Amino acid sequence: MNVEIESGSYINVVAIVNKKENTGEILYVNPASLATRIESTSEDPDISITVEDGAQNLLFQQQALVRYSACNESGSYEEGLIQLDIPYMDGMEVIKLVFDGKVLASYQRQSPDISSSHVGRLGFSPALVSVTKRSLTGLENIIEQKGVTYTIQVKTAEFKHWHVIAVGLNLPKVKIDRNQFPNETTVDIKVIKTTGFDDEVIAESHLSFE
Amino acid sequence: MSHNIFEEPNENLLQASGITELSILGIELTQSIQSMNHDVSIVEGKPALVRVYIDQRTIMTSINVTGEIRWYSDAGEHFVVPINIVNIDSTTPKDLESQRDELSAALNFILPPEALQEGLLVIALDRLRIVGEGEVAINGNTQLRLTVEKAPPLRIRVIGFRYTDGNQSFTPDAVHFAFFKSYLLRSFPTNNIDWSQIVVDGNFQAPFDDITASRVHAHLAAMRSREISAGVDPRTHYYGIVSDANGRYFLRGKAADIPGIPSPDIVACGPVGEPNGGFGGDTDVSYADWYGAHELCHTYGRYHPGFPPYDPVTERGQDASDANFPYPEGNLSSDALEHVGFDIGDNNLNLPMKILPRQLHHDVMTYKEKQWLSAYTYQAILERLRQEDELFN
Repeated sequence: MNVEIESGSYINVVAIVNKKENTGEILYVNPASLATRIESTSEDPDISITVEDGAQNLLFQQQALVRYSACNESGSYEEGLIQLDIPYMDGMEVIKLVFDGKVLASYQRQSPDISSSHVGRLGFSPALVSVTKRSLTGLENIIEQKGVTYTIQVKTAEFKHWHVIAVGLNLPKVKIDRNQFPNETTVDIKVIKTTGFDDEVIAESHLSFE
Repeated sequence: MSHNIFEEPNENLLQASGITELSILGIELTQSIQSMNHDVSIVEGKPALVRVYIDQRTIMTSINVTGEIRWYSDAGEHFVVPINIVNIDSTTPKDLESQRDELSAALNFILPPEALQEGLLVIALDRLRIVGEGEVAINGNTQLRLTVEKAPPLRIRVIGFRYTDGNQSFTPDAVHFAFFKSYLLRSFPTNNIDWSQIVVDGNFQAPFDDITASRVHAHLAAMRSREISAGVDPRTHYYGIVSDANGRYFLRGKAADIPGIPSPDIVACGPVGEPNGGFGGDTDVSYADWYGAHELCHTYGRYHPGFPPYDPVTERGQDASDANFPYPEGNLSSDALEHVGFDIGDNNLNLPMKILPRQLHHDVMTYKEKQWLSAYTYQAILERLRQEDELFN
């Protein structure tokens, strides 16, 4: 077993599965430019992730490496986590979590409705004395759409990379607590709309806490 | 007539012990846990305590002893004075084991970080002096020669999850981040913690259920994927903390897996809160430290030693998934190996410097109280840190 990092275009799928209960959920689907590649012989032969195109042609199938958590109360290992980076392929439409031939969960690519993402000027709600949390404004007109989620990232002088403060939101509603940036007077904020397969930066701004 | 303290010392206060020589039982350098054989790695830059153990058995009076050590390496040569004076009382002489288990029973010196650079380090006991009398001869081995090893950083991003129970919102307090970070710095085999933290809204509500921890893991995994794509070091471990809402909602900690190979993508989460005077033998204001270290150690491949043993009737206790754990009862050491723990403390958090006797403290991978890293876990974590440091190069 070996772990490598590869760069390219990937779809990061995060799912949970419970073989005993015969249940599972695909919780997060997001584009990624780095993939963790694990050469393992520990994949669960009963559980796989598949990708199909719009005509239900199989584009990708991989037995899943299911992580079973430590420190369960009974010492049992029923609930498992799947983290998988799938190479991006044209025509990807549906991701399925399959257990023993049965589809436990699926994620369908949606065509984002352009009118649902009308973005105003990004800003903070007014600063109030003794209130440290500020809402992001300018995003109020965005309408929730199935299969579309939002990631919000922050960059500061101290942290050079974009850091996630929210991922998988149905609507980009978030409050920024300036206590988390004690030495900063300004912060860069980026709002990413994603179908899971494609990202679109719908707002980006340099905002002041003052 | 009172004595003028600015004139000569009052000779009546000086009672000569007649002692002209003191014997040394040993010298120890400890950073987190150590034996007299120094079979635990000394790592670069990590604060260290040098302990000089004096043979007390032949002393027939009560004396206070001080002294001076010198360290030298490629970085130079410097003298260090002790942080305490040892009182030796003939009515209660302490053997080596007793001295090692009690901070004030040995003559202690703090080495500065610059002394702990990779390579050879020599500690020499230059002087011992009986307070109020003068310098005495030293009998025994007065030199300790050690090799200081490089230690890679521990890379960790700690995510605090905010959640509600429908009425009230709960957020991990800053003190829990601080205690966790401090514990890692004090106990883990590195002096370099590449740390960042943030609070985000969680994808769950209270009360928690069986899959809440899995949802937290999924959230962490999604954040991690996004962030390493944005440039965060892919060797970074992600750990989530969830407030226990003053005991109302307790999220049992879990690691997503125990990887057999270096796998920094394994996430983990755990509760934070006040131990309320006893949880886990903890009497300070946060149990985030040792609890978090336990879950984090899973992500570095550490299993459960099996203490206390799992009882299927009460469904309490721990699986013994680590068949190689070498110490009885989950202790910090066996009697034969004689490892003793050392916590340098943290003034910023009001945590005093402490010695951690092996029978009273337990390895961080157990479910027993008063947790610290045994030598077994310490060395294994150091090895895994080195392996992870080599990843993706």
